[in-house]
Amino acid sequence: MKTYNIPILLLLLMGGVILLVLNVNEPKTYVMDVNSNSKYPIKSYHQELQLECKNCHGEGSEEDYEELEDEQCLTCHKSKEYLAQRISFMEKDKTSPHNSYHDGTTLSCYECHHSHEKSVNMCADCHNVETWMKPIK
Amino acid sequence: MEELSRRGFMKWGALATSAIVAVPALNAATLQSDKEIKWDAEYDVIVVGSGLSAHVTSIVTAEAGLKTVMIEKMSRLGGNSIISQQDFAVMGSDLQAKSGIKDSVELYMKDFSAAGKGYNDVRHTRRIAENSNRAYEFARDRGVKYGDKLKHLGGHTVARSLQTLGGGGKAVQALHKHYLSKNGEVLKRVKAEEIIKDNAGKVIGLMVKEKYKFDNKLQADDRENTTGKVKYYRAKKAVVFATGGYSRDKEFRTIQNPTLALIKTPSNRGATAGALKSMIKAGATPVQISLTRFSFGIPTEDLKYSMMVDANTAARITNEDSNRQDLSNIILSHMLTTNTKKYPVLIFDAQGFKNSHDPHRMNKFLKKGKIKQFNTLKELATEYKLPVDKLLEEADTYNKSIAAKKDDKFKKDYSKLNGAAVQKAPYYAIHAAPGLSYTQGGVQVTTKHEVLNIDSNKPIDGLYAVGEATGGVHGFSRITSGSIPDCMTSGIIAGESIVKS
Amino acid sequence: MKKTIIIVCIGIVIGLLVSLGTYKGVKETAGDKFCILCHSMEPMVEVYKEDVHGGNNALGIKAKCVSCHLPQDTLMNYLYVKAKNGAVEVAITAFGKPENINWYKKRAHRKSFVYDSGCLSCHTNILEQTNAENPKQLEMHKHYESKLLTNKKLSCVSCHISSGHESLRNKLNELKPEYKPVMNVIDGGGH
Repeated sequence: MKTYNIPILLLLLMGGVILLVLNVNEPKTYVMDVNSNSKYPIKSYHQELQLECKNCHGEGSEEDYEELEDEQCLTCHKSKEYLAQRISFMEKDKTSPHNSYHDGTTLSCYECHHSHEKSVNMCADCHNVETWMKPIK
Repeated sequence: MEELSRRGFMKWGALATSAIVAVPALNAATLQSDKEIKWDAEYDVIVVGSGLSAHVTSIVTAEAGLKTVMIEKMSRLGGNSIISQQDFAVMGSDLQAKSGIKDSVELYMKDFSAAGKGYNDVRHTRRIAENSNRAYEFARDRGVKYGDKLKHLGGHTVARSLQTLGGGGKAVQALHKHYLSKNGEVLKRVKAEEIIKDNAGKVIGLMVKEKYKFDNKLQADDRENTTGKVKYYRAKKAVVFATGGYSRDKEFRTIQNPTLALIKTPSNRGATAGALKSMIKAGATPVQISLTRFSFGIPTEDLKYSMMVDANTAARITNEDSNRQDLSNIILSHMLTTNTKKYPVLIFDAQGFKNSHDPHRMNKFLKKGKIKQFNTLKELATEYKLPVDKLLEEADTYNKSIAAKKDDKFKKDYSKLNGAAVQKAPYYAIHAAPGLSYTQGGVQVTTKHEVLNIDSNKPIDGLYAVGEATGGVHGFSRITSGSIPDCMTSGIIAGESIVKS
Repeated sequence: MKKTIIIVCIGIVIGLLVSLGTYKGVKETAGDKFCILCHSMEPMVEVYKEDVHGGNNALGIKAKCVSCHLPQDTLMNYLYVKAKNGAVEVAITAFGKPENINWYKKRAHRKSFVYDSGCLSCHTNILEQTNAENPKQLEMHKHYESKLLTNKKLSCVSCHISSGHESLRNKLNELKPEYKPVMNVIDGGGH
């Protein structure tokens, strides 16, 4: 090996490393900085998606906003049957809130889920659900 | 009266007129001619409620081609029906025939009346007995699934109670599916507020509130809730109230019986007295509004094996050998007079627990923690926060009196105890908390389920009531598995009456 | 001169062998059969087979593991992440306790191991679509696009949580149940 090969090799190596660094696309950790409306705060799982009021309530002025119907929630959340399927592991013990012993898949989203205030687990009204479910978010 | 001045005449005239107007106004919620009202929707039949009775009635009218709508004030359909187990007492079912069980209308009526203690209107008892099998076949043919073994439940002379597979939830879901297939309509969050009659006193529709939002935090939702938009629904043939009971209306039930402030109820949130009040304001006759049916957990036959003590003094309260109804009444009035909210504690010893008529149920409770097991009475006392010394003293007195074969305090018949006392460990305990899930009271109806007017004792034209909303059907207490045949037979008969009218 | 030519020829041959070897190595470790060698991947593989991305569709088309779980934007990126992940995963499997991995918690970090470039390498026109059965789809994809050039990018899997492994939570529950329910009797309720 000639002596001038070593610096050439080193240069090539450096070049390779620089190329690598430039091309690496590390996923960043996101800083959640959503401007939360204090009168109508939204849940963290909707905040993560940076949803705006109009994404749920449609175009139109804020004064005209109304409570959503189930069908509107389902434009993203597909269908009540799909929601039941996702947690079908709970059906074995009859503890699935989305396909329950009493109501099947007929419950309204609002029985439990509230977007702008604390959600309430309807099952907990009569049952002690500590061993069946996580606290509702 | 010689000189009646013009002013005086006007005054008397005005008074007389207002008196004439006031009397009928007391009998009708709103007097309107139907030309004045602008109806927002028109139906043949409006059924208020969405439980079992409502579904059965609606199916009958929908199948006959009448434009039917079920309106439910809550966002959740089914009321108490979807929570109930739906054991169903049937006279003469195919299952009885298969098992060779001999039953009869008279025997069925006898059992129901034994629970009713004569407070029940036997015409309705007969109605249930004669139509129970028809109702069973009606439901079975429309998708409700039943088990193939009969249950022999307390108070029934023979085994006659069918098991509804999947409980009330599955039953109502099946009927609902069937109802929708017959073009039945259902509206959630629509509350019936007022019954509307025409000038002749016929019920022609309802004033309702759409987009009603029941508020669990209110003490008296029917009165205090201001949500919803007022609308008018026309009912061309009939309005049927299938609105269930009021076990969860603390204010109303306490008015009827102050001890009922203390009970617990597993009933659905919507079980309030608003619908009953609407019917009464429209002239219906209230019947037996203070009668209630308690649930207790421990089988009635096992109560005698226990010693029941006050939660604060650990002293015995009464003769434990009693039925659920009477015992519950005694417990509640005892709690009221001693001004406590703590329920008494029932204590079984090893022998007492062993004597149980339903060991399967007792063990189930044990597993689920409803009944607790202890090695010593001291541990039991600590868990239930009873004064230890007093409990031990009372147990000792009780045991001694059993040995002496004489209950000086409460005259309990110790010969029935079969060795039960408070002596042998382990000990078992459960709170004696009377639960209320059924109200026998309601409005008076004919055997066609037409609501009777309190003055004329004649049917209010166009108004019907079915199921738990009616009164005087079961009487003093309601026999177990007796509500389902009532709900179903009343629904079928009311539906058929409407179709024929 | 002769010496130089010989050295160059040997260099070319060595270079070809090395690149062939590398190519083969990368290709084989990109195959599904390689990924599923690890026992801890069993539940994911099972639900993948039932998923529309795992062949359960009319044409039998499959997306390979690496198609979604390695970046598909540049070769350097692909190779870098592949090498990095490979080293980490082998180390955990060999020296760590993969059976203790809490997959429920891991799914919350799905953005870091499911690459948008992967999704878009097949769903090439999804963001340009103007017609859709569900108009919400168009609205949400526009929303996604609007955040792309910000530092608050969304990811496909922000919303499409179980793509590729539909029902994974149900499958994971068969092995490590989340709940041990104790059913209770209501009699008498609490009101």
